[in-house]
Amino acid sequence: MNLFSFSNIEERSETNWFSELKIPFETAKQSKIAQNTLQPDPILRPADIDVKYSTEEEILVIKFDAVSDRVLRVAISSVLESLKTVIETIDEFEGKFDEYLQ
Amino acid sequence: MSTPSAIYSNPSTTKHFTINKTDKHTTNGKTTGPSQFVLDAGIIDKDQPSTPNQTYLGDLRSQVTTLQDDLNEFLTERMQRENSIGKEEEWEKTLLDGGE
Repeated sequence: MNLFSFSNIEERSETNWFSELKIPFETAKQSKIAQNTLQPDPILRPADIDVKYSTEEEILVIKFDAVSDRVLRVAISSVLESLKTVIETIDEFEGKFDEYLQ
Repeated sequence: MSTPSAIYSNPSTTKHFTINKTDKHTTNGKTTGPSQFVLDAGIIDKDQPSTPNQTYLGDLRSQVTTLQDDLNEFLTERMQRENSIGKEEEWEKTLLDGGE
């Protein structure tokens, strides 16, 4: 049982506002890291918005399914803020030798 | 390598968002961070994004910021239009039947 999945708690409303984002990373490993980092974030109002993450090789695909433009805007902006932190973190630390843990 | 992209769709419209690699992109978004009003009041933005590295991922972070701005502006405009239509309908209802 997935404790982070709240999608069954509230009944889903009718959703008609969709958006799909494609973010091309350098490698498939990076896109998978981004997916695994963002995915556990619980959706605060699952009745109003659904967010799905997947990868196609090095491309991270994020699908939003919302009840209104307003909900969609908040969700997209929030996910992109987190995504920028993930990108920056990979950029700063990937492949760097960690001298403190030696 | 491609650039970040997005597709928006609702029952009546579909719009594609693409990022032009040759345009200048920065990590300072137009639609994120404190408002101009707050900045004019002398507040220092301590959460300002760092300058991007001269790497693929540095460029990607800037391009994602531009995509975020484009989507925010587009969706804000749609929300405002929706609000004004709602107000017009309300006004029309008030005019025709006293708002009942």
